[in-house]
Amino acid sequence: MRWARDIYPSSDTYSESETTWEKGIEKAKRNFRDLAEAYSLGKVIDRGGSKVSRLAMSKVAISVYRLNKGCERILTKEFIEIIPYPILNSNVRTEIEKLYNSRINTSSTTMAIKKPLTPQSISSIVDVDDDSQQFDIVNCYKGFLEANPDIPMPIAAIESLIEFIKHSKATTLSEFMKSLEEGSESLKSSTRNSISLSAGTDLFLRFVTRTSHDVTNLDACKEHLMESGKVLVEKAIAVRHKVAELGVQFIKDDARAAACKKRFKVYVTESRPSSLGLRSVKTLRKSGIPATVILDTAVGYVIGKVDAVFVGAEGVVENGGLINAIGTYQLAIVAKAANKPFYAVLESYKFLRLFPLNQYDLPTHTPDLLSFPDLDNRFSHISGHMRISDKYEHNHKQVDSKDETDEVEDYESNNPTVDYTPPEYITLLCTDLGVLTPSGVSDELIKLHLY
Amino acid sequence: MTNSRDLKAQTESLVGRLRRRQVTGSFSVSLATAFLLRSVISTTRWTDVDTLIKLVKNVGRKLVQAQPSELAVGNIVRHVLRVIRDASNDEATEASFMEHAEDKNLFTSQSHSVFKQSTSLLDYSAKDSSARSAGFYTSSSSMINLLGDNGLRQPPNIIQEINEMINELENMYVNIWDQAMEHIHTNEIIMTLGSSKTVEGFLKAAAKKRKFSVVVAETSPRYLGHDLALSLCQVGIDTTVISDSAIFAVMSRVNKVILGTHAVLANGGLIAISGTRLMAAAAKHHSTPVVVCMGLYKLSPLFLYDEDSFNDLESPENVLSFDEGDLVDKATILNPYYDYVSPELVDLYITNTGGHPPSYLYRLINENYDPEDTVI
Repeated sequence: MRWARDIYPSSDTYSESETTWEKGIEKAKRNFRDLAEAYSLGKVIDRGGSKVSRLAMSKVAISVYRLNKGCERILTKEFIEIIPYPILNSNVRTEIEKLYNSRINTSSTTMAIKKPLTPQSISSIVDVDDDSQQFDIVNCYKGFLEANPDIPMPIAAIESLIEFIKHSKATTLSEFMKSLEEGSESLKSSTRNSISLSAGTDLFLRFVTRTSHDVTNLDACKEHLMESGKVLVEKAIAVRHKVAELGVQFIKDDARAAACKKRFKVYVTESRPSSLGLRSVKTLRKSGIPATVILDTAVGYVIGKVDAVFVGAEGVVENGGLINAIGTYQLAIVAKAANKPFYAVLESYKFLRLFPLNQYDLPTHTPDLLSFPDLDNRFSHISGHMRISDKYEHNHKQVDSKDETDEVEDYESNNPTVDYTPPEYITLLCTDLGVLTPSGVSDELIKLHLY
Repeated sequence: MTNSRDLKAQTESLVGRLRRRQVTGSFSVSLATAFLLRSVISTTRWTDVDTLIKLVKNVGRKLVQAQPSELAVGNIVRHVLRVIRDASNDEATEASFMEHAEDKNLFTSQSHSVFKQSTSLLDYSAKDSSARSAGFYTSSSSMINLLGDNGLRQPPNIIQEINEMINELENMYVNIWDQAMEHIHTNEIIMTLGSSKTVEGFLKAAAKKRKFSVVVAETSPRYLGHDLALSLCQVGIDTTVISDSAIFAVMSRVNKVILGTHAVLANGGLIAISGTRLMAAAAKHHSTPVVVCMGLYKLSPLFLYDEDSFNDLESPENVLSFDEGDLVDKATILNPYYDYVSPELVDLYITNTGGHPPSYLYRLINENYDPEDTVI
């Protein structure tokens, strides 16, 4: 995995270390090509901010370099050909033009150019540049999540899209739609696991398309969308309670004691690598429910003591299968083998238009997931493993974990975070639309998307 | 006034009969419910749909509570409610066409009451689409207006719809029996148990043209299987009675299992006479197809939250009579009347609308009941 900051060259590389401008341009182009390729392959995650502004920043650096050398030839076109993203293209153009103009008009630019641009100053330039695109939807989304960690991702996505509409300066409907689509695209590409997020954006976009058909006045349309979006969000929050209400009926009462109060205990899997299981145990205990954490590997051991399995979901796909944190699939298989009912509890805004045929059909699957290390590494890995198992056999003690971490580093980022549970393992889905069988999901999806 | 007093008496009478088990069996129970609801709708005064729905729900709740194990009561109530809602929706949509014609603004017509009672998340879009379709129809209706065909709207006739429903209910058996030839072939060996009128008629209908043999499990402790066997013999079907414990042993020779049921739950599971699960599981072991014959009124939108929640415990007299005093003192004797059969064990449901696989049942439920009426 490569991070954007590794590839994206900092601006001073251009202004200081390169001496001839041809060299500088060549290097810039090379970097761009790398970056564009990496993005299109989905190899790069951008953590620090939106990738749009990052790229724009490097573009500024190039134009700065070009101006420094005093060359008047316009290279814009060449750069545009390298990078296929339309938003970036306009950024390149405006950025180069702006710097070019300012150089002609004032002499102060030369000063600015001489001292290396810091990322902050660059991003401030970019911010002034074009408002409609510079409303940073990704940061907005992250802000929503930070402000309220309990908010479901799809809802945060819808809320950020509403903010996006608020800031949108589009004048025609098609422009507006296009910018919305781009906004949701950049939102999707901002996280490694975009599944549940895309459920939200798709739902909202679908809603927008439907509404926009009948509207001639764009402002009215925007206003309407903003209002109805808010209603949608409010409803979505209320929906959770409804789901809980329906779900509670499936929990058997051990004691059959006081009215409607059920007595039960919960085993919670640790759910590595996110270890979210630990958090849910805390909340369960806080509300007075006895809960125990078990290792993910202890599922088979504990299943005999269990009456039913309940899981949440990041998304539900068209055939009624689930996409959820890694480990759900094997939990479902174990439950099926032990003849225990397997219930999924979720909200209807998590329905996805996706039809995975197997695990590797998921959008989160990338070629380098679970890839093998190159040969040299592999040999050392195997020999290391042999050594460990020898030792284990000889003195039957705990494997020295230090040895292992030396040999196999960073396997976590190499591992999937979600898996797909096929519908035949799911007993029922408990949603706000009622209790559904897996085959009922496609019906609801069609209702949502066709009518 | 006399009307309402009459109605109250009628309701109380049915509640009493349900409670005392003077009216039992899904079919007769649902007919009685349908008749009562028809008179409720025809004799009380109501001006808007909401009060009518509330009224029907109130009566329905009393009936359901009187005999919770007769799921068909609830099903009929839900179906009547669906009929009422559909009729009122038709009317409201028509009204919204008219309004839409006057007011071109999309967003005002959206707030119209077509979907007023819905609460789900996705309704916002649903409303939207209804408004759109309303817009679509405006043009066509204005075309009709040009032709001078204005204002000829039929008031919703709920009573007529309910009469149709009762009619359908009465013809239900015939519709199921008509499909018998598709499922029973010459020289087949069919196994069944209990004494279901639906299955009995189904076999007899096939026997008119085909020669096949039937194996009937005696279904202790009530021995309902004996009654069925007798009735099949009388029309000349080759019938064998076996004891319940021989079901597995005989299953290997059987081509098809045909079952009746008391109720079908929303996930496709059956509430059927005890012994059914045994037969279904044996059939699964031998990969023998299991076919269930049922009228649609037996399909319930409820889920089974607990395997015993719809079961009845009968008097253990039939299992171990009180004469055998020694044992009765020492042992606990249970006599559950029903079995729960999970949907994986069933291959096909034959209803009065045709044959359906278990995964299709949710669709039938959506067609017949409104999700809001699941809890009466």
